[in-house]
Amino acid sequence: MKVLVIEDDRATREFVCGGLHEAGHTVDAATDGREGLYLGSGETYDVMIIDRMLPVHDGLFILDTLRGTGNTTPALILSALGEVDHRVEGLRHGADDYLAKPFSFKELLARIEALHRRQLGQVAMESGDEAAIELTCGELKLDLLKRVAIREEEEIALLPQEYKVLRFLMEHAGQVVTRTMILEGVWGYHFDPQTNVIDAQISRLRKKIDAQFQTPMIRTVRGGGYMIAE
Amino acid sequence: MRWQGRHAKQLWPRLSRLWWNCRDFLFHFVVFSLALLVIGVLVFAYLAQDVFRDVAPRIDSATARVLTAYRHGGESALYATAEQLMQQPRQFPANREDGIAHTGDERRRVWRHQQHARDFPPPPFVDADNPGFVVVRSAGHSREEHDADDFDSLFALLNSSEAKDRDNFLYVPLVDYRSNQEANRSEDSRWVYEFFIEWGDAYGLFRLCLRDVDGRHFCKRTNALGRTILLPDNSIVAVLAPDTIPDLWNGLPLLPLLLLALFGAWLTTRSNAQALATISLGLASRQTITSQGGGGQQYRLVIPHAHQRLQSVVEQINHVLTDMGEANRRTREQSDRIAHDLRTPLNSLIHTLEAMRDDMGTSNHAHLAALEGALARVHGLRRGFDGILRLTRMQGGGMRPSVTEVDLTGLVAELVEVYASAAEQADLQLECVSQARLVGAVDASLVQLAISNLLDNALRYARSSVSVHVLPLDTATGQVRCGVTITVWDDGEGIDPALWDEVFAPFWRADTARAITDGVHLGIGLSLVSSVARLHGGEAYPLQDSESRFGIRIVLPISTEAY
Repeated sequence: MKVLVIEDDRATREFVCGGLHEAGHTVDAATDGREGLYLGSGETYDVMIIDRMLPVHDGLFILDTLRGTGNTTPALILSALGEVDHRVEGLRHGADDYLAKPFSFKELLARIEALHRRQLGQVAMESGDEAAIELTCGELKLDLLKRVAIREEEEIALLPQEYKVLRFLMEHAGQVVTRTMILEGVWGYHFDPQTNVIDAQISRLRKKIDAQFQTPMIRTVRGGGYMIAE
Repeated sequence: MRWQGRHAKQLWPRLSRLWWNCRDFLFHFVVFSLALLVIGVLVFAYLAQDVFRDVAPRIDSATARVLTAYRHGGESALYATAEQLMQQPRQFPANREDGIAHTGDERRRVWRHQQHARDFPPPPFVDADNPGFVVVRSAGHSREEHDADDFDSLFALLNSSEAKDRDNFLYVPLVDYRSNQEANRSEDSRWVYEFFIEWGDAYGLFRLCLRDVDGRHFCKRTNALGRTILLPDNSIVAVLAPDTIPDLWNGLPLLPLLLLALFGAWLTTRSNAQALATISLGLASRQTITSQGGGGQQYRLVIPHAHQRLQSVVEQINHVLTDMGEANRRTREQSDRIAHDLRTPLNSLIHTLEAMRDDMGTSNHAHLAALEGALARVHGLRRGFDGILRLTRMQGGGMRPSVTEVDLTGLVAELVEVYASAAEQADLQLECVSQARLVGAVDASLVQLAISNLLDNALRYARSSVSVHVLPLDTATGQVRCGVTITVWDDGEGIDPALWDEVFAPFWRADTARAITDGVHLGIGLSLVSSVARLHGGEAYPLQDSESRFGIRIVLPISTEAY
């Protein structure tokens, strides 16, 4: 994956670039708005990470300009301004995701990978796939109409919230999803409850999906979140 | 319990408003009365001038007749002319007949006058046949006494006791009431009157008052205008037109003036109260405040066209609103900058810790656990920091709720669903109680935040069960407002009612909470809840039910539709 990072704070930029490098991605970095805009409009990237407050050109201005020229590269805004209205403003200017500082790198990585995957999925959808009526991950199937999970030919009844969480996990099968991603993606919550509600939800889901079977499918990723995989 | 307190709180402003309206009314009434009185006196004086103007030439011509008669025919002609004049019917309007005063007040005065007249009958020459003129002659005096100032000499003459009745002339024996009234009193004193000059007027007439010796005006209407002639024998002849001085108090239409003043005072008080109400209504309701300009934070007060006279006040208010909007914008900017400056170091701290953790591998368990703990604390710090910033922005007015139609029952039910498994893990019962689907205009994310804070608290302190109630605002408590109450109950220890006033203060926490605190909860959750409620124009307060469960209630005074 080829990533553009536009970030003026040196420590954050080096940290993000180093981390992405280690995760096996190609990274271009820009230190201010002008350079970022130059790179963003000149090259083709899979994902852009843009700081909101930048010298010369503001992050939102860069987005406006790129989107104005028909550039649809998924973009994640990285900002110290984390309120809901800031987020809404960012999304209105064409951002695909919004991450408030301070953030953990695993969160950022999970999010840009999800963005990239979604972009690929959209391309695939445009090429003529029908809307799926079931999601599959290895031996686990999720019936989107009957809202039941099927594993090894056995139907597992799910509570509504379990269904929602499982569906979100399976839509991101093979990817790490963080707790905040689940909160945002499943319920649209942009706050961080003190109670570890997601861990509780996952452990309940595990009891149903994994307990009676040999290989656990839902894995905990240290420092990151959860992942469902074969 | 709480609601009764609110009733008492609402009664006091109402009483105070009534009191101020009464004061306002009284003040206006006094001002109006005085103003109308002054106007009345002026109008009356104008009308009185007419009477004078009418009377003056007649008195002058009568005086001329007397003088001419004396010049040509001597004493006898003087008496004959005087007799004629006194037998002449009135030709000028008396004050009583000019139609100025016919109020009940005047009628009462007339009656009192009649009572008075029975005890102190008027002198025979006045009112008897309603004479046109009264001619009075005083006895002769030495010339020297006349050389002084005209009024003074006349006064002296009139007060001399030598005048006596002679033929057709009415000679009034005068008493110097000033020197010694008692000495001059006799059996006949009922018929003894004194003349004295009160004032002279613009037409050269003077006013004579008749008084009995007791010093009482027997009737104001004997006030007469007249002229004097000084005869060669130093006696003075006065030609008087009785009953020609308009009576101010009887002449004024007092009752209509009073009613007019009352009406005027009522009208102004009402209009003032309405003006104030318009402004306060305008400030209170969102309809008349429209947002303008960039940032969507500028408020303006717009009032109906009917109240254009308030325009200057409204402009001032709008100035203040603009200043406030500016201050809010600055607060917002400042908190944004603080956020940026403080988050950056926090960010690198997190990144450093994460990098250390990732590099460490899983071999050194103790260190790993310490690192994980440190990370958790930094994240807790970040969360608390987010909360403080959010709180500052909400309380400083930097945040404007983005209001949409939201199914509140659904919103709460969903949150309860999210928390369900956490509650299950902690062996707590969590339920959501609601009557109907309540849809209202709120900022969904803020309400979610508030309820999630309440649920966090409740799950932390509950012993066995937590329940969330979403109900329409109880009309049984006498509240006419419509709205929604969301109450989160838990059966934990609760908070001592003595401390209830403080629970919403930032960084406040019960002692029990301090004991279980983990170092990353900053005690601003309830402040956030209260701020969210206030942003929606409502409030939040703690309460306790009959089963001694403790709850925090959010009241959102929004119009709802129940399904």
